[in-house]
Amino acid sequence: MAGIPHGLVDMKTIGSAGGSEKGWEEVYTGIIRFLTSSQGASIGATRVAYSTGSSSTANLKAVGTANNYWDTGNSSGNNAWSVFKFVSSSLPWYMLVQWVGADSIAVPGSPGNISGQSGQQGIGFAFAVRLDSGNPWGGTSNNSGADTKGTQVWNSGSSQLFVWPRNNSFGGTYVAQKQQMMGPFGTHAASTFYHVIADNDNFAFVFDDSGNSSHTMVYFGKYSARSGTTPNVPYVALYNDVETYDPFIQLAAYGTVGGKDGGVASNDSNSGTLRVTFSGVNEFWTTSFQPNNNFGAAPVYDEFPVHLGSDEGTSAGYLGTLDYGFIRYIYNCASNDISSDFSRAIFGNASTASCKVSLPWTGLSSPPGSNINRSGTYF
Amino acid sequence: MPLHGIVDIRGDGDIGSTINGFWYNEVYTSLYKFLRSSQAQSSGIERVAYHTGTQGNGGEGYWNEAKTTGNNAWSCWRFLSASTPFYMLMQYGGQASVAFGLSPGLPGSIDGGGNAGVGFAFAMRADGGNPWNGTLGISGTTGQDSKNSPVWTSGSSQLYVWPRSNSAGGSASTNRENTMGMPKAYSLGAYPSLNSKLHFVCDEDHILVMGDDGGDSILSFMYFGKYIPRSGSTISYPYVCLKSSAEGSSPPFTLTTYGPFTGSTSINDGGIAHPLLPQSGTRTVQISTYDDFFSINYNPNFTFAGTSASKPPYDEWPIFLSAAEGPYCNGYVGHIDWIRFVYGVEPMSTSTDGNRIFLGGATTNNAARISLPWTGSYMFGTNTSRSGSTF
Repeated sequence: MAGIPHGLVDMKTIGSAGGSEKGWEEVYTGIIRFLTSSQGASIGATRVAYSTGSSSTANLKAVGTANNYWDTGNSSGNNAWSVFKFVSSSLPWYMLVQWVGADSIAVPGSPGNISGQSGQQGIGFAFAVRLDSGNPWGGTSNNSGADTKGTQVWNSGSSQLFVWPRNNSFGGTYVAQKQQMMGPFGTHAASTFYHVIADNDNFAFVFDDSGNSSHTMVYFGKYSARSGTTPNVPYVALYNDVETYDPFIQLAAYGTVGGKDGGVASNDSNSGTLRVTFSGVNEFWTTSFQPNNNFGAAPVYDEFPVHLGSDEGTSAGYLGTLDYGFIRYIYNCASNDISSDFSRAIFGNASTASCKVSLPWTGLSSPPGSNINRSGTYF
Repeated sequence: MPLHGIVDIRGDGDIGSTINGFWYNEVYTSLYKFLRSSQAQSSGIERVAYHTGTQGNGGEGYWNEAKTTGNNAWSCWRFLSASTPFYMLMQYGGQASVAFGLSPGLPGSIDGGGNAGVGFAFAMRADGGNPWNGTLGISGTTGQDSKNSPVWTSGSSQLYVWPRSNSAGGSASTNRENTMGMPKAYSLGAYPSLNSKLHFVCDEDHILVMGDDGGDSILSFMYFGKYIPRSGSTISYPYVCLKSSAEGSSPPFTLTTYGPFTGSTSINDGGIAHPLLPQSGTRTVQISTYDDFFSINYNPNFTFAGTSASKPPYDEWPIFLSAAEGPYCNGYVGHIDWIRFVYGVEPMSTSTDGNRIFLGGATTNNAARISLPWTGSYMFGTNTSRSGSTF
């Protein structure tokens, strides 16, 4: 883990009473509020381009800075998007986040696609890195709220380009324009809980549709490389699209459109990303072994590294582990539980006897979901 | 730590003659000779007690030599240079249908019964003291020591014994007489197939015994030795035993539990020292690894070499351990690193630098195997005989 983790957590949508799309606007706004806050700045998040969105939809017209909720001034309109550079990482990376409402994907958010959907509401994320640390953003960068996307959303310049999700890369469905994003879409429930947690190298968006303690997640971050290897671009992304996966990050391949999405940067001489797969010590993921009562009167829950490998054709193999300081497997903890020192929170399937992940948490005694409101809590 | 061992011990007594169980005599005797060798002594191995058995004539040789070992010969060995000294009992029975565990090997059983075979048991005390409860004849002995009941004793310390059935709650906990057969226990009158072999490799803290029933290079395994404790935990006696009689399984130690209470003819035996003082005894152990990567898709690993690489690396995987007995001895405790899992390599091949050898699993390349530290100077099968090859 690089740097001190920060987040804006325990946010809840209230806009669904006026239609699901208002809830998506709130989710987008919550993410932007964090990334443009002092906490966002402390992890190196720097906005480089954005569009305040369409002005064509009633109640969701883009006005001003577009950082506010739909029922206040300066809200964002349909298809608003932002691009952030994470400058404090050893190899800077870029993130595009965009929301889509009733307008579907349209100007100023086109070209675009969320998890294979162009006609659905939702929130989408895409990530990109250039090997030379340069800027891969293919659009304008006036950073005034009126930026435009390029025909190719990301480009390599004179360097090598690595883009997530994987289908924006070579051989992928969206390689021509690299417009694919990943994230939840559709009509979400009235009260959706969500959290944004990040550090210099890692970003997690945790989404609890209907507030039932089962989550989906978009994650991008740096992995710790296999001993003896030094990957040029040690970054990986995943989106698990089903709340009830067990384990939360499934032991399966990620990098397909509309399902388990993501990918990992290739390490051979090619640029681009590949499908990625995950593994763990799943024989120990039983209620017999967790919590671990070997070491005294107070049983402890073990946390295990998430191992990953590239999963495509002639460039497949073990790569290393997700950043253990940031994200870990854990079994048989209640979803939304927190560690005894309040530094970690547990997300995944609402069923206790399932494998979940732990992420950095606030240091406060309130577990996820216990102090929830639209504006959330910074840490 | 230097690696030593004896490999390619083949029971020649069965070749060209009526099968008669001399295989047990020859394998036991060859192991005995190795353990008495200068190589074994350099690893801190010393004999503390022994009996030359019956049907022999008071010696330490093969069945057709002047002074031979006989049925139910046994010997107890101390691994003095281990982090915590541990003891190994080795015994054989079944030659000419004489059951394992009769006098002078009494009390004794192999895989929970009185059948035939070469059996192994291990013990250690928390204070590093001697758990052997029989007579001691370190110097000036004539091979007439005696076992006692129980075979192992705690003295004033905590006692850890393997297989797990010798420990509290186990079927052999009273006399602690059970041993683990390698390659397995055989019915009386039923002997290993022709050309069957045994291999024994060790350093100060670790032992790997490999059985090859039928001499087809498809192996079974028994590991005893240290493991690396779970980060953040203090485990005073991180020792574990895994024994699997299932030849050719992939991975060679299947991802299941080892160390049944009954100590019967279970395929998987062993156990783990209770990780928390002042508890004594051993417990059932469960193993795991990152077996989702056990696939030809991921091995060898092309991610850092590209398809043009002439020798892309093969990844090696720790064997993770979890104590597996409720209610107060359940959970992850650490991992074995001396031996590891590896997938997709050719059986009996070595790493490029010769420092690891890959053993077990199925005969096809697409199988998980054991990776073992290796000397690089000897290949299995080079000198197969009843006396094997010692290094």
